[in-house]
Amino acid sequence: MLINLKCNSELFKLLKQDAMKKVKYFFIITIFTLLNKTVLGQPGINVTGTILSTDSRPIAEATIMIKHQSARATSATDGSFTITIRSKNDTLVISHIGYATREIRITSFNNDKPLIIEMNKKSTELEEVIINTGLQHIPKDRATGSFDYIDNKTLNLQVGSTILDRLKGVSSGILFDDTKLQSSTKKLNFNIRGLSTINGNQDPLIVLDNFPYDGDLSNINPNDIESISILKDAAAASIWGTRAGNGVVVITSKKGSLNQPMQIEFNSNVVIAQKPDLFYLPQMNSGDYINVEQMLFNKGQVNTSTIYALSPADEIFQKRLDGDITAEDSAKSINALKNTDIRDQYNKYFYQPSVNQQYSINVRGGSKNNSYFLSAGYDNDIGNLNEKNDRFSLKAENTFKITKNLQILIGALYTNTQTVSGRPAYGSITVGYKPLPYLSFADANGNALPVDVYYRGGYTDTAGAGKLLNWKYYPLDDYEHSVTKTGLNSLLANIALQYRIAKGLNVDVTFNYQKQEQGTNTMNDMQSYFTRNIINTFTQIDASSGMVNNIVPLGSILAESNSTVLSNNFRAVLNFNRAFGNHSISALVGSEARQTDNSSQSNTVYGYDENTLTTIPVDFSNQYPSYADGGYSQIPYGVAFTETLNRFVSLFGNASYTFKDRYILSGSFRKDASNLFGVNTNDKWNPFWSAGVSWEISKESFYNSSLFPLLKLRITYGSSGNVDQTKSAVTVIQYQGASPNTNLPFATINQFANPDLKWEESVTTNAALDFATSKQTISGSIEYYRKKGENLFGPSPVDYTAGINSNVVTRNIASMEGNGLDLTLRSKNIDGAFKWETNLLLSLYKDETTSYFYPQGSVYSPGFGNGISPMVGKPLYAILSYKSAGLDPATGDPRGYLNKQVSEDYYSIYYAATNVDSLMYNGPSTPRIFGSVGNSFSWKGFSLTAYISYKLGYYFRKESINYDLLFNQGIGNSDFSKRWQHPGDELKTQVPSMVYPNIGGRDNFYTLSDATVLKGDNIRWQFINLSYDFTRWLTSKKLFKMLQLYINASNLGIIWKANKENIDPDFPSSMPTPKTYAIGLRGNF
Amino acid sequence: MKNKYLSIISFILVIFLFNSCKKYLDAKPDKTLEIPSTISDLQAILDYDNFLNTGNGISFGEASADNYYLPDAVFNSQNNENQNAYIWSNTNYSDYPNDWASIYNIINVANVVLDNIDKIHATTIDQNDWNNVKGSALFFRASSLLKGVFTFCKAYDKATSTSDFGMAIKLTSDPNSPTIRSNLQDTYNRIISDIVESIPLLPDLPIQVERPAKASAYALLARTYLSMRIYDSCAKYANLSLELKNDLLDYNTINTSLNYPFGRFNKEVLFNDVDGGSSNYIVSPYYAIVDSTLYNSYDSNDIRKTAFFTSQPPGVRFKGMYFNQNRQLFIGLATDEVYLMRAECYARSGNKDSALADLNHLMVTRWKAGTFIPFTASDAQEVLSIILTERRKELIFRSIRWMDIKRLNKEGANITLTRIVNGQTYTLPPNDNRFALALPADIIKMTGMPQNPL
Repeated sequence: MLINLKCNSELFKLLKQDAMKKVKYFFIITIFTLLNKTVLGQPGINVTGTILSTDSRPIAEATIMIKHQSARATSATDGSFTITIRSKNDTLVISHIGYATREIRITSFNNDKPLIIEMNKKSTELEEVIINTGLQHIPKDRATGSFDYIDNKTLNLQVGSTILDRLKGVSSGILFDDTKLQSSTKKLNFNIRGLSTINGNQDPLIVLDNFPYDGDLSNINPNDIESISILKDAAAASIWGTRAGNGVVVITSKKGSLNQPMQIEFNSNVVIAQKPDLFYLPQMNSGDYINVEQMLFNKGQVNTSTIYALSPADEIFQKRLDGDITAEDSAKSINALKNTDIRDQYNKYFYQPSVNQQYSINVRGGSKNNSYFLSAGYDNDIGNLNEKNDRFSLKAENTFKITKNLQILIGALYTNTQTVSGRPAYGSITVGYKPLPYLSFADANGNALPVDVYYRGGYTDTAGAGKLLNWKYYPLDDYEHSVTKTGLNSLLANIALQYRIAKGLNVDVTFNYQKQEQGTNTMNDMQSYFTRNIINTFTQIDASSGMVNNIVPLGSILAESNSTVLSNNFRAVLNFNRAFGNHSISALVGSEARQTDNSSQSNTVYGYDENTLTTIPVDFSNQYPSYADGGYSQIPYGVAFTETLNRFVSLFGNASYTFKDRYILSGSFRKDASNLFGVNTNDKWNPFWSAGVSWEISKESFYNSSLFPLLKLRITYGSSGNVDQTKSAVTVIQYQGASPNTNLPFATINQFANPDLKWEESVTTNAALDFATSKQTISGSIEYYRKKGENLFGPSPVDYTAGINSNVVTRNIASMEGNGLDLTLRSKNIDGAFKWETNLLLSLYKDETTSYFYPQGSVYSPGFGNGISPMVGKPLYAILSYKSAGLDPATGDPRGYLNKQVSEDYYSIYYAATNVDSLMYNGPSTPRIFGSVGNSFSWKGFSLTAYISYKLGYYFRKESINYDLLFNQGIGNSDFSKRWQHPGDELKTQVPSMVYPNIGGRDNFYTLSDATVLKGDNIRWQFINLSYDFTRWLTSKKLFKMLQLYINASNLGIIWKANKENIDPDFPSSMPTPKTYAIGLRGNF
Repeated sequence: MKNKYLSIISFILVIFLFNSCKKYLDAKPDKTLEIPSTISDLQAILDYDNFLNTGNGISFGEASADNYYLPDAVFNSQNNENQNAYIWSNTNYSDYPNDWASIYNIINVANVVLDNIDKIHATTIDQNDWNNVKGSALFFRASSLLKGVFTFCKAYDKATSTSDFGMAIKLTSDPNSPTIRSNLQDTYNRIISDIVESIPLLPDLPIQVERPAKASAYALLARTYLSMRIYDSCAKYANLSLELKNDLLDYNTINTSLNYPFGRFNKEVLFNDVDGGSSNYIVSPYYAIVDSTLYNSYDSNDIRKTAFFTSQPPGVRFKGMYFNQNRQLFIGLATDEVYLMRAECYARSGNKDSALADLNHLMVTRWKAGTFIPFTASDAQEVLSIILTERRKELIFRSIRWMDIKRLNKEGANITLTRIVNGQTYTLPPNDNRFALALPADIIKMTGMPQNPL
């Protein structure tokens, strides 16, 4: 209740806000109207009740009829219904596709005691599935579109602490792929049915409890989630608009329902993840690395300044060169370094197994006029690097039935998350920006050793003659002194009014409020290298008097930032649902306004004392010379404010008409507008529409197949669009603050006028067939879809004499087409005391760029396949290479082809790549075939579920040795040891020889030749879940309705892969996600 | 009854949607965004000094000039573009980003300002602000175009100026305006007319040397005429510039032991401009070793020898830029250059005494106090040769040596450049075509403009 009050006061605060004034009026008018209502309806007795399944879950869309009469009602999402009977002794007939029909004779009815009608599941029938589109609940068998439904049981098969993690492997058409680059248009690591745009937004829309969710998904406790619906076709876009072109994930949380006995549910588990496998990484052997350093040192490539850091090996070479040590000592020290592997150090001192604990409990139930749901969850996560993450969540939802026709729903979700940073990760400790493979963090006694990050040990030993702070960096304990803490509070509140105007006609008015406040502070105390380094850099020591002047004062440096996301949504929907004999109509029309306000501020203070909360002012405007090299700079300022405001307004509607329960016609439309800057109002509106039909052939009298007693055909077609946020008809500038040189405010040109840009258009077709054999032994669906994108945005080369700070400009230059097939099969292999079920998901997907205007003569550059490379006739994510002609038998140089002749003229090969055909196409870099196979076995209380997933028909490019990076940036690769060294090696290796000085273009050619392309196909264990239900052992079922112990193992790794090298195609350049093991207990009573 | 409720609700829906939408959707998505419409908006664009006053990109000219050399190991570690610039190989000129883009990025900013400023009507109160914006934009456009000429065009020769290639002249921010290569005469005419137009609009001196002013505009005009070898006009504008600002820094007052002996924005600076161009990597003192003959030509009493240079293996490095960050080279306008321009023009016009006076006035501030013996000469020709020697020594790493070599070779100086790399010798004879660097290949392909003769 407290939370509800809080939510109410928040709401009222909001209602005062200017932007929502219109909303307020609407609210008041609506409430006023509703309160002044007169009694509607017909003479007779109103009977109310709730329809529940035997496990106390509400059943929606059940049909309630009065025997031998025409009156008819349908149960709502929470199972409730109202029907008017003419006299006592009428009989209600309650029917539902998934349940055995019941007849109940009303002998007496007391309005204070609504009916509770329990229905038994028909074991032989399809389980009733209600899709929540976020705007309405549709029984899956009445939908024409492509919707997927993931129930609670399936979500519970995996133990991931974020809800989307639990979709892996269990939903069809969704591809999780961590190898693709993330960007402002691609923030999530999965997509639904491929792409519909090349350069536009590629992320699906996430909807939580009927509203787009702007917060961080990790704020949501997965145990609060009841189910997920996935909208995949054109209907998704026409329901949700602009942001929904890539599909919608609708997350529905658990709720209470009227007239439901109290039920308590709990879940608790511990997940342990192994240390990540550092030795998976292709780190160059320390001995090889030091030999290369020696060669570079001898050739004079090493710039031995007295100030800047040298690697430990270079320090020894320099000492030997200066005659400070003997050849014998030098060799001994170098050998010691060669036998050091930095990964042992990271493993020993920094990495640990991670432990994640999850606890959650919820209570739900309802009386005649009120239902409630309360839950609390706590997660405690200690990561591989000892980073900590605590999440606490509280959720409450109440429904009040004010009058027979008016219902108010108030809900709130509060989440608090606290994180604390951990130890440095592999690769983060460098010497002079070089990631050396052989550093040591501690001596034999475990004492911290310094690492020369920026400055040489000899310099930091003596600089300032004792008047500076210690200038050394000790990785072993420095992280304890540079700590970043994040605190996040998130409140999500809903208020919804549902009013029944007349039979079958309802109005729903919903207001949703989301506020997420995040505070981050990074505290670098006096012990931290960060603080000591800044203080020393800005220290001035008077040469004659020896006086020390600290321009940056002694004390901690605290950087703070706060950000707030405030989102308001308002929606009003008019619903109409009526059935007349053979006809049934379901329609809605509504409008929505939505505003998201992001603001942030940051600040950095110096000389901070935690104990007294004092800070010391510093001079941000003048420049001071660096103690080390005399270069001038200002003290880092760190004050910044940002604020963005996005507004959307939409108008939408949809309708479906069902005839004889077998012919369904549906259609939907939506128009969206937003406050794009620099665009005319008319240009801000974008229409979407879709239409669909479905035909349940098996209900026709002529249909008489005993093989498939259920057969249904569905087709949808629709159009959607996409607008480029940077589209602008005029030049837009952005103020950036004051120039540090002049203290004058300055602005940058943020967008150059691009008035010719039009909306992207995307047309999607979906055709599906649902089928089931008798007794549901085999059931499933097969869906075919086709996406066509026209006028797609793309960077088009531009004559940069125009001076727009870029050599490309966004134009409507491309079109694409995607085709796919999703097959879902469920079979009950053995159905008895011992049960065996198999779920098969198979997705075939193929897309290609059908046109892309790129002028002749432009150079096509092959890539890693982790970004979209639009080439006509090729997949959007494709791998293109320089064709390799193997290594030169005499020199070990990589060879390619120039004008069909073997050539080592790398620049000419580069310049000759003027079209796709001048390069070699290896294949797509996203799988053409993917899916999963899950088997579930159950016997008595045991149940075992195991999923394997597969990705087939694609390629990836591995990282290999790049001598330019090795010589100049110290970045090595273990392929170095496989390099060509002697004539004859070209027969067993494709890794080029090492040549110094490096030949321009040679590394680029090899790295991007087909010699580094591997097949990606793989099959992996997704998870194994074993559970035991103790319920049978409980003497009294009154206490526990269910008590289940489960163990789960995930990320178990690869079963089979096509490539022969030790590379997991999902992790070509990073460590695979460690294996996790979980044990937990869940139950309800 | 039902109809009543229905109509009320529909009515509200409709009102809500269509009446309030326009205003609701006209809110700015980001407070920092503006459509440039006021004088202060346009001034703010021009005050983006990290863009307009750095990275202007004339670095391939300096990289091609003879102030420095690279040891083999350093040369070998460079990318292909830098290597080609170093050995005057005009092939494989780098695609975007490059000097060409840097030059036109500035010109476009100036054009955005110029396209908008005329739409704003100044009042008596803000007339000066309006003037400053327009004058500054003209200055930046001219200054950037002149850098392009120094890099991509041959030295000006009146006889061939209408047939020699100039730059593309862009006078509008319309991205669809065609890119046409003009001749050198037209390019210079545009540069001169922009500067001349800017002068009455600009204040005598700027509030901050990141902004142009009359003093720097006169100096820029003098630099323009000097590169055209029109010495009387050069003298005239150098003189006008010095009338507004003639401060010189007494090098006896600076601490030469510092890594950056000269502060930025020091009293000689007329207009600050820093080289952050694409190849400044190789001309950066981190790599570039100063030519030893040049270094040895400084007298031991010449403070410049210690203020400008530091010795650190494998050779002598430059540290004398009028700037103090990240080894970036100062390439702006300063009074020392204006004195040297006026002195040179006096000498060329036979005015020996005035030339010597300017030279000695400058040089006395460069020598240790009490050690300077004023230069003397028997005739103007001798003064000219002293002035050119001192010009070379004073304006080292200011990104004007490349233009000076071209210009002086036209006067018969016969300067041949030589590089020795990995045992191989490369030479660039006087008036070679390669003194005009090749335009980027992608620009040639895209616009169909003629390439410089290679």
